[in-house]
Amino acid sequence: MKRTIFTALVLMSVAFSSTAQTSSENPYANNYIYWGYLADYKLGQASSAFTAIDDMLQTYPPQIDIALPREMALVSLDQLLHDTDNDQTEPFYTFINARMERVLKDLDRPVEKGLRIYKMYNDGFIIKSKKATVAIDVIPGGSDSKPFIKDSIIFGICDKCDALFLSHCHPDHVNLRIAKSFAARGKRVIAPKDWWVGVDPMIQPIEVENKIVDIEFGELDLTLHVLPGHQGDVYNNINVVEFHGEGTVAQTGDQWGTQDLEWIDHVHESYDIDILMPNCWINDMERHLRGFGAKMLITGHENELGEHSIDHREAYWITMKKMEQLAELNMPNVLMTWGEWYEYQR
Amino acid sequence: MYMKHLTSITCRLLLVSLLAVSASVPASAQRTQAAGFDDDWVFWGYPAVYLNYQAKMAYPLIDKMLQAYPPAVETDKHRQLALVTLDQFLHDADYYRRDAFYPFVNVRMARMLDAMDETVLSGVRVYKLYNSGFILKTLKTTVAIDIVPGGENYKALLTDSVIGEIADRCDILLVTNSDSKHANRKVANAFVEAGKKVIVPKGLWSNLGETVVATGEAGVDEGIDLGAMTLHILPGHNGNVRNNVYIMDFKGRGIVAHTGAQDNNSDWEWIDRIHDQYNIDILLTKSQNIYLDAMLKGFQPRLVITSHENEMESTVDRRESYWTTQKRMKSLAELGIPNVVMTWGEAFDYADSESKNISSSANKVLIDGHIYIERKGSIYTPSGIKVK
Repeated sequence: MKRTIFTALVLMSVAFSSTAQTSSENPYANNYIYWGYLADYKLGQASSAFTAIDDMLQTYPPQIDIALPREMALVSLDQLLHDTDNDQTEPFYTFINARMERVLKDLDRPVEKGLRIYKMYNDGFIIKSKKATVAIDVIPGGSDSKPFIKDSIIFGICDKCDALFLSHCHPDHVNLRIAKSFAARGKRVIAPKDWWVGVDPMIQPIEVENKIVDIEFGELDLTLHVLPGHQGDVYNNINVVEFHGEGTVAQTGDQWGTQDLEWIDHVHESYDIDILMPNCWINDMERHLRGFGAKMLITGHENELGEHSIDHREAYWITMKKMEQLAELNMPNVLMTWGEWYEYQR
Repeated sequence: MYMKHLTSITCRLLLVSLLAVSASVPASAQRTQAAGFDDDWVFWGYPAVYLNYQAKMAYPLIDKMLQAYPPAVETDKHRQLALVTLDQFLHDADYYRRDAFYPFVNVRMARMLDAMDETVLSGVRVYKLYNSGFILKTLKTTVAIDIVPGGENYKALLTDSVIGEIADRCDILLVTNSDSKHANRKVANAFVEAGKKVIVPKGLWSNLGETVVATGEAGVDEGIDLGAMTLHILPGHNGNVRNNVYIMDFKGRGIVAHTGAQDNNSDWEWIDRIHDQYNIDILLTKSQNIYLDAMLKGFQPRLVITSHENEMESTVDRRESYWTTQKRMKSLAELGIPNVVMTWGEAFDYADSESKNISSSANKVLIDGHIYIERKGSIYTPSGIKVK
């Protein structure tokens, strides 16, 4: 009898819900049945998948030889992030913020030797040594009105950094709110040429056309070498950060253009680079790897969810394939996703 | 030290001079043609090609993970990730356009066929096939239930060759109901041609052949003795359509029930009491069922293995997934009935051994509405925790 009544109620609910189908109206929600409620189904699937992925990525953190479960997690993440139904959904925000919150917490953990590399959203990295914590191209993602990473987390992270280095003026690499938060705390922001001129004395656009600019950060025990790259006609600072005695990293921003390749071929002759951090879709990856001659590689820019259509949301599996093709270079690489860190020692 | 410094300065000068020379070289490069994706992995402008390649990357990984983490009562988190990833790919509306989909199914079927040649020394080995299809193998017999090729809308998931191989390896085919998700004439024909018995609900395929036995009179448990198995056919329904609920007693090796597409409120009266009559080891039942708890309470099996996940003929919202099965079973945890979530081509051994938590040699007891296992005078939860 109870079941008959229940069935009748279910049928009535279905009839009433035909115009506006939301999760609150799904009579089967408690049974995990989503007939007619595709959006709810997708949300549930995304939530389950993001949770499983996050768990697996924590169990198998970044390392040079990628374990099968981590590979599975990254490919699963690629699939989720290439389904636009998942864009700007609660499961996505929960996932990315949980991971960034861990970065926020971990930044309090001192680095005794070498460098700790944190991978942020898009092409953002934070590099921490014993004496300095440097942010490069760190952005919150999304829009200022609805950022991917909550203000409380991203600004908390910025508070724990000592300086911000920016590659170029595109919004997937720079964010004025972030830059101002550094400047407001008396921390230097090194920006590309002609960018944010006069906004704040601590925000310093650097003129590097056809030359290299070296900037000393004595109190942080590091030197920044700004190399004059380009993305097409846009100035793109290649930031080579020398953490004295601990390691040197080079982040290439959105370097893209054959006009720079000739001098890039020789970068390794001038700098002893430990870690190269190019964007994953850089043109002629092999030539860049040879040019910088780094000891290891960490790519950036995978799964940029902003304005790009899915064909240009570069996947982790694509980076894996590219690295397989370049195996003969014998350059170790560590594939990282948002909110992860990797310890590097010479 | 001085020489090193000098070299460094020289290199810097060379680098700076090169910078000046190269500044005027124009930028270039966008992909102009669709060919050669394997060379540069650039898919800009080709989203469909991208998704096809992504599937090609993922399916073999999923397969590898599922092999590394096979079906178990406690779903390991590695396996869970593989299953929810599979759900993602199988809930892609264009799944059939992905080149890797059919090879994924085929390779799993081929592996299953190879494994079927192994002898099962004890208990029952359960193979999960597409949709509600299962194969049960014991030392003495192999039974196929509701085997369908699937892929009605596009292309069959189980090829004719696979169906033929299955028929060759099985002794009998049981079909629960006439719906195409459970019954397929081509499959039945393959069994008939292989000289195997086919048992179907009354009225289905009356002209198929002499080996077909039409059964299922209301209220009659026919209890057919088939040598290594006694088959009990219970008269279920899906709406008004006859749905045979099969209870297969493998004579000391385990008792397995398959509910087909059972869905009719009038049948609850006898389903609620099935456990009084049969001591069911494994219940094979569809997961997507708002009355799953009642089904479990009625059969009170020692183990449940769900079916019907990822039926590809259904729309995406109706295509049951592994993650929803896991959530649903978790919500029914208080019943204390262990479950195994399986996907296509996998096997699970229900062993007749006291070393296993789930053992057909142990006795079930019902205490305060919960099922416990009695073994050598002690009482255990189904997951093996001793309570008394």
